[in-house]
Amino acid sequence: MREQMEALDDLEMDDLWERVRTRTPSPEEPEPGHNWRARSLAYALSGLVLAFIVVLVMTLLPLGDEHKSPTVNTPPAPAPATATATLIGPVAADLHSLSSPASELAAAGGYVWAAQERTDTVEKVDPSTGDVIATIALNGSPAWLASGTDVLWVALGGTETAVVGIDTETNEIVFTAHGVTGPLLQTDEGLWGFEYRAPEPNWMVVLDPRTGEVIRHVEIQTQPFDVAASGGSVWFLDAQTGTVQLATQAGGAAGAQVITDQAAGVWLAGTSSGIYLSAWRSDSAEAPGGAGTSAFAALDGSVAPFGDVYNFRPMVVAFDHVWFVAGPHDGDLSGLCAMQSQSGVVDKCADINVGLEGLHDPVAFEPTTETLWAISATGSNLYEIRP
Amino acid sequence: MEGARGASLFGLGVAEARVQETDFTRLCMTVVDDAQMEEASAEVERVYQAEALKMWRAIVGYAGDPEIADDAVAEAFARALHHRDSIQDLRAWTWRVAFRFAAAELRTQVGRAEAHPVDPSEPSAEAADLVAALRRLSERQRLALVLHDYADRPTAEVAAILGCSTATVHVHLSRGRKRLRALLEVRDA
Repeated sequence: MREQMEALDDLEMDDLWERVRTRTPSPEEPEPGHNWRARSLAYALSGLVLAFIVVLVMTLLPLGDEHKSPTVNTPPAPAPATATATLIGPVAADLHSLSSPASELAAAGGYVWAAQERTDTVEKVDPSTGDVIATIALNGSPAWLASGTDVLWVALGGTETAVVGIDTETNEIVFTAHGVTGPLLQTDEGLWGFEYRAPEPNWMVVLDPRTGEVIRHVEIQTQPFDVAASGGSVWFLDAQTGTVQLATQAGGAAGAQVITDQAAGVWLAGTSSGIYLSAWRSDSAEAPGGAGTSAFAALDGSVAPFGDVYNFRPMVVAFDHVWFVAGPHDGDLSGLCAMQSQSGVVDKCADINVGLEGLHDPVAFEPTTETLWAISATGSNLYEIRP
Repeated sequence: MEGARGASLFGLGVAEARVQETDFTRLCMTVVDDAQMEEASAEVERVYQAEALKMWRAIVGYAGDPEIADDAVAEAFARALHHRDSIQDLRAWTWRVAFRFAAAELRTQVGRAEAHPVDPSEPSAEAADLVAALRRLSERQRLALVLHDYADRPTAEVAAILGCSTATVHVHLSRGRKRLRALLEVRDA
């Protein structure tokens, strides 16, 4: 696409500098970044006044420990620190350091794994301490991660696509399948991946996780961006149109089925009875609950609005909640928030700034320690969240 | 005090020396201010030389009208000259202002026949075709594509201009690329 866009380089502009110098700017709205010195001074003064008021109130009205609000600590710090939310219901979080900015997270074999696209490595994190305890070198850039049984699946991007499996105890590469890439998902049937075959129709492939043999193909017309399992069905997100399709139904029936017409995000989270997605469907506008962008797709393919969160980015389902990243343009919500999977009520948020630049999964649930992990906005830190 | 002592050496009284000192200080401050203003103006011109052409072409891709692009670029840098000492990131600021100005101009054109489309005969039919194809995308898709895929602006900056999250920018990019590819394939066929 960039090559086609270069046709714009054929356009010729007259030199406008003289026009710039003589032009009287039209009346304008203040721009962000403009008058930053005055603004910084105003903020600093406001902060001082606010701090004074807080100190005064705290001095005059001492509270019991059970009423004290946890400290909000958003800037990354080299040593573990506490970062908690006070927005709806506070969720405690610690901050841990990585060697360099990570793009994707997964939990496998009782460890948390962070993809390092810049160094072609995966870092292994001990969830009990938050320390990086091993770094595994790869022959390509780790674009997608997925958990398997005692194995971490890694899809390598670049010129030579491949999927490798890393033994979660020995850190050795025990599996390689060439020509397949992510998104990845292990189900009872096998390891799901993607095989790009343009201009022919593309394939979702199911691999035997022990031998790497292809168990079966599911023909699709597009490139999937995320994949999620639910009750024996597998769903994938079409990166081109933003729609979510059913790759295979419980019972083994293959084939793709469009279930929504306007998805607004690029993440899926699955549970036993369906998947959560960021979607808006035109015929749901009149449905009870309105047409918010949080949606739930049941196993039969029907989509219903779920909650009402603008730009809903579902990550994982844990503790009877779907955890999603909100902000900074989502109204009152900000951070990693939790929506009750029965009612659609958002009842807690960790006020942390989750990194979305990597685009894949910046959040993982580690079941042995019952902790959630999220990559920070800078990518260089991991938040450990204890709901 | 040093100024007063120095001034008295030239035969001036203390009161006169204080007046002279104040004037001298004002003069120095004016010279310093002028130097800072000149430096700031030179900085605006440097950014203009580095960015204006790319910015103008990107705006033509977005607005489909070279006259809007002329106005938007001239307005952004004229404003930059006006506010030169209070802008933190001049490069990002001018891109943002230029595109917002172009967007506002486009809105005023809706329903009016004031567009000045790119002439297909010059300088290349490919450019004119591309601009025509871009015009068939949604405004946000077009904006995301020209800023990211043509002008190499980071997604965070595109998000700031569009007023949305980076994830939404990626969705606009993805859909816009597909649609544009299809439109250009029809043209080539």
